[in-house]
Amino acid sequence: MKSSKILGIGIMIVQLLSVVGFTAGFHTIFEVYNTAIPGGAGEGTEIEMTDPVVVPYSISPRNNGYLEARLTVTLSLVAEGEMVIATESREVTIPPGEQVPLDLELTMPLSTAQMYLGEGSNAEWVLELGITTLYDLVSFSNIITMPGGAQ
Amino acid sequence: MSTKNIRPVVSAIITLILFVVVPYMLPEYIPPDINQLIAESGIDLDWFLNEIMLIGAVTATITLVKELAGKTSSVWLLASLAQNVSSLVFTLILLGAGDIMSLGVVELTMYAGNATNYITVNMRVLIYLSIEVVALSMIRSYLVWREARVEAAPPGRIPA
Repeated sequence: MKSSKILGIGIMIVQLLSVVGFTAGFHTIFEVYNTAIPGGAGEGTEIEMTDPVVVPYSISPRNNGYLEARLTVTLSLVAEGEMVIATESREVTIPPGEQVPLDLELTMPLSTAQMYLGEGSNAEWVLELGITTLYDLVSFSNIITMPGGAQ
Repeated sequence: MSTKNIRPVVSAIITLILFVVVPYMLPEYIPPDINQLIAESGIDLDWFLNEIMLIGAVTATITLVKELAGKTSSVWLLASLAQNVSSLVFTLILLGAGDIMSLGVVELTMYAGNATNYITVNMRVLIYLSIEVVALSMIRSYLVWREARVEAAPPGRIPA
């Protein structure tokens, strides 16, 4: 067989593997993302003004894809655009076809919460979702910012 | 016109339709709300489509030149190498959503109500794979050209 033909077959295999890897990777990312963000950051979470104030955030991401995915979730309360009032981060590895619960709790003193979660506050909730798959070769990240003060 | 002459013209026309005519007509068929969403996300759709059309026109021309030139000619080899490079540029444009220099890392900003979404998609590995495939394809082009010249040469004579 001619060497150009052998090389041609090799190129075709690399291209085929790339397409399969790309499709499987993005399918996995899409499936995990869809279940990791059911209703938006902080949506439906009732904050109780105890001391200290605990803000819970729970999700149950499910991986309906074909590859293992690593999900990193970071929830922060940020003021003035860059001053971090409170932050919490968790990382989970979700095998294909499995669901892994992930709980975050932001804790802050009552006085801080009253200052930054009250009406007219310029604080923002920042939820960062990072998903990597295909042996960390393909990644997706979504940073969602929402006003933190009372609406 | 013989079949041998029709083939290169058909190949060039198909490339032209796919990568020039379709992107040219596309904006007319995009619903206004999707168009607005794309504009808000930071993607310059007009620039993106212009880049696709430009690379499409270049690829169509190279395809025509390559198919018309004989496999043993130096023009065929140069056109084949240029075709490989143009396919890499096309991949860079596509995976970078119009920004070649982003090298497969797409950053978008989307607004939903009072929430702001900053999205980053990292497909750099596909760029590396494309570079590898293009490099291998260029070697293959050279081998095809070399083999064609050996076959075309009279018996006992090694082509220069």
